[in-house]
Amino acid sequence: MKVAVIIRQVPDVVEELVIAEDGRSLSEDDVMYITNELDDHALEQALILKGRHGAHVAAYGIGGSEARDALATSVAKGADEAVYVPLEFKDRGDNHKLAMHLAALLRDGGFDLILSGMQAVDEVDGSLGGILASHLSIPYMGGLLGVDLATSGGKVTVKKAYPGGRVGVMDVTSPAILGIQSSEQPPRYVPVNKVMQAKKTMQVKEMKTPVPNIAGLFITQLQKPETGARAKMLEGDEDGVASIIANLLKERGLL
Amino acid sequence: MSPDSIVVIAEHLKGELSDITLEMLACGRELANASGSELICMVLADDPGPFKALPFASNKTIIVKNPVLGTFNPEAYCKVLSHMLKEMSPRIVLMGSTSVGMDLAGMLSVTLGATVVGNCTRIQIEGRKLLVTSKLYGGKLTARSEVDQGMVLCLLMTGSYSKEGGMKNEISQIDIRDSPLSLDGLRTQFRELVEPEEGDVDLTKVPVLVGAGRGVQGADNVRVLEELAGLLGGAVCATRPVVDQGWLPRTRQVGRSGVIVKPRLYLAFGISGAPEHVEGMKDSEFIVAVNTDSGAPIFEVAHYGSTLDLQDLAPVLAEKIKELKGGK
Amino acid sequence: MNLEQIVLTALIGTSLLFFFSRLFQIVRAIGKGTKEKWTDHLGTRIWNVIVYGIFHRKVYKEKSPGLLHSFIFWAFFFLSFSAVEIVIEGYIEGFRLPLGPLNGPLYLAQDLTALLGIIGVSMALYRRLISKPQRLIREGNKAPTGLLPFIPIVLVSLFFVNAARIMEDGEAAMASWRPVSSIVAAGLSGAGLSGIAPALESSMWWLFVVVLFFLVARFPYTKHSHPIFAFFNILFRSPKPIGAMAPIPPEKMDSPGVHSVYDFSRISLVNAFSCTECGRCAENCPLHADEAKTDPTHLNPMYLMTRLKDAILSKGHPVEASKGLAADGGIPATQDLFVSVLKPEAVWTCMTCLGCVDACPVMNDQVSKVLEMRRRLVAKGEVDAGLQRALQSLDRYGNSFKGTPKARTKWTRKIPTPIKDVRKEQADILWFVGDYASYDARCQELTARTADVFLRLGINYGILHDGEWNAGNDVRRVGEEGLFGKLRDHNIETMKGCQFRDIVTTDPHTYNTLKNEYSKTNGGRVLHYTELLEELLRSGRLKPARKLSYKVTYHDPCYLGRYNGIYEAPRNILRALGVDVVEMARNRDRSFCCGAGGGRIWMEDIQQEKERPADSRVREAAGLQGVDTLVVTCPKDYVMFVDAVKANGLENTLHVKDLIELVEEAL
Repeated sequence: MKVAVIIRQVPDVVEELVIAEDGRSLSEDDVMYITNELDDHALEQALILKGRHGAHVAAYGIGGSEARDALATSVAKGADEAVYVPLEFKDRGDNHKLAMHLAALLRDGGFDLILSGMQAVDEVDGSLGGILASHLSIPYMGGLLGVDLATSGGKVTVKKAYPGGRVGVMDVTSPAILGIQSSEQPPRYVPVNKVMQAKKTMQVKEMKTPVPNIAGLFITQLQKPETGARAKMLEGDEDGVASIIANLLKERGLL
Repeated sequence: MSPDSIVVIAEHLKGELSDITLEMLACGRELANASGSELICMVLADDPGPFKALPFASNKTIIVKNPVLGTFNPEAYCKVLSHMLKEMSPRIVLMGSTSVGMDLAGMLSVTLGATVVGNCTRIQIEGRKLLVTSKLYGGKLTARSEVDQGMVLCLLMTGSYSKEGGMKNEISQIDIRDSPLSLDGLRTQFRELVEPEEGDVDLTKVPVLVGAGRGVQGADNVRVLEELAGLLGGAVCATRPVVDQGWLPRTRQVGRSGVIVKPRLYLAFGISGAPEHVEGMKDSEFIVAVNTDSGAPIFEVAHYGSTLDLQDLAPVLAEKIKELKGGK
Repeated sequence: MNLEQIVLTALIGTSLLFFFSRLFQIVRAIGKGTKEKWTDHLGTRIWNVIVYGIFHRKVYKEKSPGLLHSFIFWAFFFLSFSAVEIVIEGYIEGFRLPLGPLNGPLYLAQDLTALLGIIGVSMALYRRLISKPQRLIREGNKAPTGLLPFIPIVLVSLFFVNAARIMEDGEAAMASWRPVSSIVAAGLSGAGLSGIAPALESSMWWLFVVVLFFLVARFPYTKHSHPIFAFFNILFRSPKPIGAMAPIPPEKMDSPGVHSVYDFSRISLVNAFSCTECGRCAENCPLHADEAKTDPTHLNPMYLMTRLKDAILSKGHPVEASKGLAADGGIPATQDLFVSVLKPEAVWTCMTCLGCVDACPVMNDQVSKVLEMRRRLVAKGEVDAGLQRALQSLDRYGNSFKGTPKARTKWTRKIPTPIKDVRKEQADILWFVGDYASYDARCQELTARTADVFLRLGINYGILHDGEWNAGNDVRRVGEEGLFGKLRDHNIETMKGCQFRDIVTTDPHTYNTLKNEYSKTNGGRVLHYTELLEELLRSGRLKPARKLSYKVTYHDPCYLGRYNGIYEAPRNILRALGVDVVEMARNRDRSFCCGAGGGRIWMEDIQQEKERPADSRVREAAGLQGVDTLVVTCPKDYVMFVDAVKANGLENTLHVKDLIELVEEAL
């Protein structure tokens, strides 16, 4: 079984998000990139399939130099293959462009499953998985909490999150693209030494095909939310604040 | 290309229309009125029964029936919608920023050659232009985009529009049809819907909820919150990451893929306020949020807030409540 | 050979057979461990053997056990000469050791020490049967109480043999050199029993031989193997500072740490047979082994040693081994450390406070074993969830708070004057602030005060601003050697470009690693701020403007005290401030850990924990008469104790203050 995992680098929201002078994008100099959290879950799910069924896992790292680091971590965790897909700053955050690019790269890969996080913090034009699935003419399903081989006939059974805490069990005939919401186990830890080792010894294939030049969504403005903090912020130490809250609750008859 | 129609893709589960559908209808109604367009609601279902007598705010409601369309199956929905939307050629298609809409939008954008705008909170029409406001980076930034022409698929976030405008007094024109395409031999088969475990709390019926977010950092801290909840006659609920980590069961998840709640009191501890969660609790009567990050989006919906560490505040709050209660 | 000699030979032969086969078994088992060098600093090592092995300095940490142990030790020492003499007497009538003029003094020593030995055993029996101190009872009373009485039997029988011989022929028996035996002889004669002399001599002689050789055969099968192995243990113990962990050897990079018991070095394994099961290690352990939980799910330093012993001999904990727990990598369950010695969840409970290592009289190192096991768990990716978060934050942001590096200097906004950036300007002192001091909201206030004090004392200092990363002390101690290396290399690189004389830090953990584990940058000293202040006090630059009349108690931080021997500097400063220091019972090297060390501050609470260490400690402090302030010199202590005071409702009774607060007040 061959599984591809798409690992994107997205702006790290722990750092301050600085808007560029044009007011329409982030300032390239100030952005710090981090692996998209749900793509981490996708990798974990792929590795779980490797552990259970000996799947071959190919990690596709997309972005700048941080993507290479992410590939080292993926290999250290157990990915069998590492592919670097360079993506310049101006092309990032556009899933349609990325999907078209990846479709060309993945089409002949012979993958049974392509896993990716069902969303990313910087996407504004829909989930990557769905767009990619359309290009490759294969099914897509997102919001997944679990993936496994079906008990019968070359299918894959997935668990999809439905409203109200319900879980829908579905069977998909591969090849298919799966949008992961949460891997069955939290993403595993890999020691720094192993990552450093992987960095030295891993073989990375670099995709050199140019990114398609298609127009993306036209963003006119990027800004901090205008409403700002609506909440009345309470000052003081624990004692003071707790007293205020407790009294507020009492006033409203909640005690 | 008909500039004159706006389509709403309805969402439903177990015979009930979900709230987002009503919000989309309200939004669609507003847009239709502003641009003189026709508002069409599309319902894909196996049994048209529950829906055919509903007073949708749309001009027309098309119910497509087929046994495979009973519970949301992305491949089936995509096949039907792809075909029908191509025919109808609307300007705007409204879908929920939900596990339904998010599955469909990407696929449909390619087959229909349409633009997709996700995480929408506000949509406006200005002549031929569509102006959309969306949330990015977990709610930390807002993006405004413009689409001049072509079909646009907008994923609307829950809570952006009021449900009120979604229904009106008369029943709209209902058109029930069979699926235009065969839905046999699909590669995606729906097997079963698993209900959450019994015996746990029904979060929608509890008057007070104490929410545990990632800032709680571990199952141990949940204990203090449980004490608080107990004192207030309520229950502890959680955000998705907390449930994924296993600190609380999935039955306690509040948000887009969990439960939508409207308690009298919602105490949010260590919750950043990402849209997926806020969707689930923003209608609470009284919200108090505690998060060490002063820029956390939760403070946009909370009534009162504090940046103290929840590990310090929660136990003291429990003490104060005990004191005030004991005084009775 | 006559019948007696045959019996004697058989007896000795059997005894020695047991003795040597057991010894051989142990040595062979230990031999399966890895090699480790022990030939460096030979002079210090030999000196240690003399001080700690022969003169038992550490046993004297408790006065009366120290005394009774010396008595018994010296009794046995001189007894060994008697034993040789007596055995050969069995074959050669009237044999005496050919020591010339030293025979007399030897017999005198034998007599006196034998008496002391009897006194020592009496003291020991008193402790085991009457006063019953907790650590002895908890650790198991039956076996030692069973074996102890045999010792006085040996010594008394010797007295009787001597007495009998004296009664027969005082001169020949060298009675003048045997005062105690002579008194016994006189007593027997006085009681009119001189007639029994030959029978007495014969029977007591045999009693002596039988019991002695019974002990010889028995000892290596019990904790009494320690007289043999402890000397080697002390010799092999590295004199390098305990605060410096041994790096992972290059050949072990792929599978660092230990999994099978034989992955430990031989030197490490000798610990198990040097252990005297005295329980001093467990006594001061913040994990409070209140019940004698001997199974691998609990970390009790003494039982760690006993289970290690079983594992080395492939005996293992039979119950655990038979539970069919999968021993991975083909390691048999009895040798799999994570099955038979310490389960993973217990491995993470150690706070690395060094209470055990410091207390151990035979120089065992319990902590390093746990840390080696942690290295293996990390290599396998099996880490506690809270720890995983902290490590990922450290790897990415250089701090465990998931805070952006820029926020490291947030605390400086509390100070009007900008602080020098040592990367750009020269300074006398590089103040390595530390993670907790920089990022924890409660500590930031203290850090600002420290800056204020430095300013007022005219210290020319600077910080690394956002170039500073976590120094890595605790990262190393949770087994993430790779991340530690990354942090250390980064910090060293940053400091390389700077001009400064000495490094000062307020955090003992930071202090420990900078001092002992970082290669020397600029050849300057690494000081804890209390050392700096003490210096300034001596030189007169620190002059308290007023005397503070508080009654306080001081908590010795683990990484300042036990790890680096700094006990007096903080006290000297306190006294210079006019403060009255009242000591807690557990002070200096007996200080009780706050519970944050060893990465525990990042981990989830211990499931089976009955009482948090910090709670115990603040109660101890609050219990002191007239004391209302607990003084600390470590940000983690501060945080832990502030929380504990709240949790125990002691806000009005005990105030937690960092020493810098008192210094500032006095200026």
